[in-house]
Amino acid sequence: MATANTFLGSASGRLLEASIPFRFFASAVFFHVLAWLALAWAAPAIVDFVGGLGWTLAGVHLLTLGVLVMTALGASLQLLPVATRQPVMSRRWPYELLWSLYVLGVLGVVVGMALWLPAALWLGALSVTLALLLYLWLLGSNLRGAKGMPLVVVHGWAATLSLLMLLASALSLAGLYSGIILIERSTAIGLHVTFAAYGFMGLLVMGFSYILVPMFALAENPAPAWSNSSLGLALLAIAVALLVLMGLVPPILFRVAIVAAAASFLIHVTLMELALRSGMRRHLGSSFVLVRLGWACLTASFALALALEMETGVRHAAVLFGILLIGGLVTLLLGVLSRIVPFLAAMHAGAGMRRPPTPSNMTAQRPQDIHLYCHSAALTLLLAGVFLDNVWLLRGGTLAGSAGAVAYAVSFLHTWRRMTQMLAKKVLSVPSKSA
Amino acid sequence: MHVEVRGLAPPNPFVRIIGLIERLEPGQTLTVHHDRDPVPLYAELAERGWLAESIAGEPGEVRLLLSRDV
Repeated sequence: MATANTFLGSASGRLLEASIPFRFFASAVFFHVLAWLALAWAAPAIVDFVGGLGWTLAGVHLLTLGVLVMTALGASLQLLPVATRQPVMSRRWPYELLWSLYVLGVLGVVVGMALWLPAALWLGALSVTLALLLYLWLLGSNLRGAKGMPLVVVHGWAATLSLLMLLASALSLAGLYSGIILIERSTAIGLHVTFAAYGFMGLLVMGFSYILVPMFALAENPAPAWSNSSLGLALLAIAVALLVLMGLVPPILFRVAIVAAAASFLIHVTLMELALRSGMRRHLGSSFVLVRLGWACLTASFALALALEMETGVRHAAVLFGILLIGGLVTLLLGVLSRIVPFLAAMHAGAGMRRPPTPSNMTAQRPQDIHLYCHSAALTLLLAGVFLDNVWLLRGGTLAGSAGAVAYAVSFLHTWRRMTQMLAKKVLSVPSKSA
Repeated sequence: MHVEVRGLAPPNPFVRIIGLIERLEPGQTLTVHHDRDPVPLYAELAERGWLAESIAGEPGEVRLLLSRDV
């Protein structure tokens, strides 16, 4: 007879070595601080941002590539094998190569954007592309052998295809500054936003939410008919948007895509809210305040997308849309990450121990609360600053965001340190046990 | 008490097991019949003061005995 955590050793086939997901999470936390600092530097230029190289674009990509995609990589590499009942790859090198290429690529992209260095931007984009193609191979290998969870698997495949479109549009946009024209600029921007925010990140987040939200709330899975409807509408929206952007159907149908995407998301959020309200765990702490704030921002982003499409003349609608969309995704993912990280840390640190640490023992609640207040203030001040065209509000917002990012990093470091201390103690205790 | 969670999609086994242990009287144990190692379950059990032991089961079955950590 073995204890549960000796037994957990046999589960290691679906658990990556702790250092692999945690290096992605640590990088995301690092880039999160850099992102807010870059945006603080760029604050006076945020209101009039219309694209083009500079600190604003660098700050945006520190958030999208550095925080959103980085978190998605770490979380999906670890959580997908658990959901699909697939063993993880026993070799470390694909994960290490992926992380190295991706981090170098993100640095190249953001340095190239911030300092107007097209060559660095292009090389960074190539490195990011190689890394994400490797990720696609890892993801595809897992999804091909998936056992069960068809809803998550279809979301995963759709996100995979979206990532290919995202990479093509990203390379095209990066190449423009080096005189390489692959896709016409406005089409490439449309494809980039559609497939980055909605196709890749949106579908990946929605797919994982169907497991993680009921698991954390201790609720039953949502009704399949409704979750399938949400997925169907999301796929319809992305397909219609693609046809419009490729010029194959009239542009007015883009409104259909926005309405379908909004309907898909509203069904998804309603299902998640029902799970939260019916679950056995009602108090989910600051992490789920962030998740709900993220949902609210993303819902509002659809209204602004429609306002932009219908040219209703909302003041600074494009920048407000960008803040709600990227801010909403970042808020949602940081909320989920603050729940996942202590949970994973407890799982790894507890392997082989009769009495494993609890996730709450691995959590630093005070810095997480500080992050919640600062992050909420940052989003509010940014939206107000853009709407009122007030640079001081924007400076205040980006500084609040920076303070929040530091608090989040403190919380993450606390969890990481506790986990590594426990893992080190276990390594030291092995010889004495066998002696 | 026994609970059969083989064939259930995640996170339903997790939710069902935690729901059951919350209703058990002091001294009662729960035997779980699973078709896979419930990796995320152990941290949640620890949070609630429960321990799990792997016990012999049918071929292909993962059988766990859950008891309060006293």
